Amino acid sequence: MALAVKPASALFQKDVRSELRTRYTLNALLMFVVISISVVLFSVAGETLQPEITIGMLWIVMFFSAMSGMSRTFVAEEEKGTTMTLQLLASPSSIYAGKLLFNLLLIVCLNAVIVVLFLLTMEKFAISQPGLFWLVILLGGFGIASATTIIAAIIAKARTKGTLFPVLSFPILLPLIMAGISATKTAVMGTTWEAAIPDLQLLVSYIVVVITTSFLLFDYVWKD
Amino acid sequence: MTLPLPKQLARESRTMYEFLEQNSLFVVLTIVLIIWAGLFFYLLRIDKRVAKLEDKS
Amino acid sequence: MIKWWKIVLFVWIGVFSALGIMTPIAGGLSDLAIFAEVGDTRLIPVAMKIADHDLTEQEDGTFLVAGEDKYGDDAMFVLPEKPAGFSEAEGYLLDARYDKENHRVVAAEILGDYPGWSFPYIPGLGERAKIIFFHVPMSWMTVIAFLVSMWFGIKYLRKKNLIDDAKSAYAAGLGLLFCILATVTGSVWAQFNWGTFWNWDPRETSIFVLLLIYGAYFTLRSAIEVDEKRARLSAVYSILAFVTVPFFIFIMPRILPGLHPGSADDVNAGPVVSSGGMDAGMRVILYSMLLGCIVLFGWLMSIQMRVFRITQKQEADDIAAAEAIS
Repeated sequence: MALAVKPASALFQKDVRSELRTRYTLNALLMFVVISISVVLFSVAGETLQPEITIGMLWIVMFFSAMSGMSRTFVAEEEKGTTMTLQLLASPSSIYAGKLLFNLLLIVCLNAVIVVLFLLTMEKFAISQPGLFWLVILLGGFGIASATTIIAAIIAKARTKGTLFPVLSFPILLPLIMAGISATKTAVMGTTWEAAIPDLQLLVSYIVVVITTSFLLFDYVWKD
Repeated sequence: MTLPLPKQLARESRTMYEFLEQNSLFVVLTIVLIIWAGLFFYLLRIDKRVAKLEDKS
Repeated sequence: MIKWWKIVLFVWIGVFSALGIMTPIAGGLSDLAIFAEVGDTRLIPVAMKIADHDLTEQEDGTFLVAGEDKYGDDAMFVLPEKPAGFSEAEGYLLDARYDKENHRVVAAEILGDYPGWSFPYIPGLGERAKIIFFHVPMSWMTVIAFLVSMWFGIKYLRKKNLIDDAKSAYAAGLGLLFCILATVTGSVWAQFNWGTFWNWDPRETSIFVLLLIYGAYFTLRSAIEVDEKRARLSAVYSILAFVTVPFFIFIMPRILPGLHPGSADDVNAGPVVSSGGMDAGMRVILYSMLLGCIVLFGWLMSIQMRVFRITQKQEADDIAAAEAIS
């Protein structure tokens, strides 16, 4: 159970380095984001969308790009056959912490790209409270990363890995997505910052609860 | 040309939906029926498992 | 041999279902007044007690009787004809509307004798209110089965006994059954009460999320072949689903103040959470039906577990026999 900082940061650095070397996930995700946003743009074709619909689209793109990006967290280790080595070298908590850190970084970059592309392409999409908006996107990304890390570990042990991931993730992420959409609406259309406080409380406690539970449960998932 | 239906006949020829709309107790009875159907379906599944067990021994 | 409690369970569920369905719905003066206030002339069932066995025949051939409603409010009521056995009758269940100027209950039809036991009339629901005895226990059982499934999941993680995993899986299976029944019965009812099968009200959302969780749980189970691995991962998943979904979808919105109905600053927290919202008789029947469903759930679970144990024993015997030959 012991959480050691050193192996966790080592694993994090290894993941970052191998990602920067191959750029496999980054390129694939970037293409995914570009494709999904262009599908949205094609279907809209110059019409002005209601802000509610734009927010819905934004969260759909965020959810599905996270689904395609996060699923490989542990599957890659299984495929390369490095799971056993990791099990020998570090405690489960450290592994989880390292992977969580990497996923947090990945999803924050991903969400930033998505939102910037959205803002650039949808000219009519005006945000009344940018500070709150970015905070919600950040917290939403953290929430998605924290919940999907342990689910990625679960599916790495199952047979149908790719399709199983969104199926398992969606019910778990639903409270986060609902609160996130509601808070984003407040940030885009609302007039006061305070209206989003319940949603922000929900987002923060979601992240805390999910990460704590994941730390407690990761042992059972990780050890064969 | 359509003949106007006698009142009694018109009332009898109303659809199931209208009947349920006007006699709301039957909506409740339909719901009880659905629950029984569900439990019956579950019973069938247990039966199937037991039958499989009997085949083996 | 059939154990006695199974007979008791059958009689229990039967009696309370029958009570729930057959008890008449009867309103009082206040219910009539609500419709009269807005000029709605519909007839609703009202229970009127006779205060004075003295009939006055009016010019249009109707009869005027002094009486009081089931809640004790005094009012004169008008009967369309003189019923047989009037002098012995305690009162009547009437299909009636309210005549505001004369403060009279005008009956179009006598439905029956005065009911000693009746449910209150709920405007807009009428007889449909009786769904609560069947649909609500189903949705509660969905949640209870989920809890039981998670409980045995935790037990498996601690003791590593595959029997606990089987219990967890069968509890989830029954939960899925109850969940589907709650969804279907609810949407059939919604069609007749609200005009659409589905309209994403908070409770509909919550049952839908539970359906998704059960679906995901069984998809996960079907994707893993090794027994121990399946048991472990599905237990982890059900705990993860439990800490996020019910807490954040059902409990948090009630604790936090918000604009939605059922929030902390809203008076309407639902019939179960708020006290005094439901008629005592209805409450007794609802909880009795719930108890019946819990026992039924336990019984079905125990049947499944007996079959499971025999299957396990058979497999063990087969392996032993194969080893003996070789």
